[in-house]
Amino acid sequence: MFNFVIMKEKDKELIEYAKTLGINLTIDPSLDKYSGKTIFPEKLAEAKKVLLNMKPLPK
Amino acid sequence: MKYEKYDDVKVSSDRLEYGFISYGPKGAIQKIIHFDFIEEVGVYNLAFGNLKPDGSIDDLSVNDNQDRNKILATVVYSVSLFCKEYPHAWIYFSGSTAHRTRLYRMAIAVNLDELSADFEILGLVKDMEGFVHIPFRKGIDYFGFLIRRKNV
Repeated sequence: MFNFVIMKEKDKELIEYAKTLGINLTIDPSLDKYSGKTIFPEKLAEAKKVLLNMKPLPK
Repeated sequence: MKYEKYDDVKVSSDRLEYGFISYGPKGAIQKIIHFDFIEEVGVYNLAFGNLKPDGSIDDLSVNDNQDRNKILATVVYSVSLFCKEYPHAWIYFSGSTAHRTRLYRMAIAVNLDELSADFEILGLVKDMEGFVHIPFRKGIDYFGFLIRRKNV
C-alpha cells in the first residue's frame, strides 16, 4: 500500500513536470508489455557492438 | 526546440516506453520510443519506430506523414521525461540507416545551442581500435550519439 502511494506521487510529479514541457502525459500500463523486451533486436545488437568497443564514458 | 511537437504522450510504469500518435496524410500512426538498458556498459539504447496493428514494431518504414521534425521534437521531449526518472543515464542512439544517422546529426547541429543547455552531447567516431566519443561538433560525420542530462 505504501509503495502504491509513493508510485502515485511519482506519477503525479512526472505528469506535472511534463506539463512544464507542454506535454500532456498519461501513465499507460499497456505500454509495460514492451519493457524489458527486445523489440528492436538489430538496433540493440548494433548498439552493443559499438558501445562494447568504445572508450569508457566520463563519470 | 524550434519545432512543434505532439503534445499527447503516454508512458509505461517504468518510464522506459513512450508512445504518441503521428497524424498526417498517411493517417494516424502509432509511434513508440523504447529504452533498453545495456548492462555491460551501463548505457541506455534509445530506439523508436512504428507500432503496427499486430503489436510488432517497425523501425525501418518511412511513414511520410510529413511531420519528421515534429516527431523528432517529440522524441527529444520524451528523452527529457526519461531523464527526469533516470537523471544520471547516458543514452545512445543512431539511425537505423546511415541516412537517418545523418538526419539526426543535422537535427542536433541545427538545435545545438538549445540542446547543449540541458544535455551533454557526444558523437561517436571510428578509430583504429573501435569507437571514440568526442564532444559533438558541427560538420563531423558521426556513427552514433550519446547524451546525458546536465545539471542534475
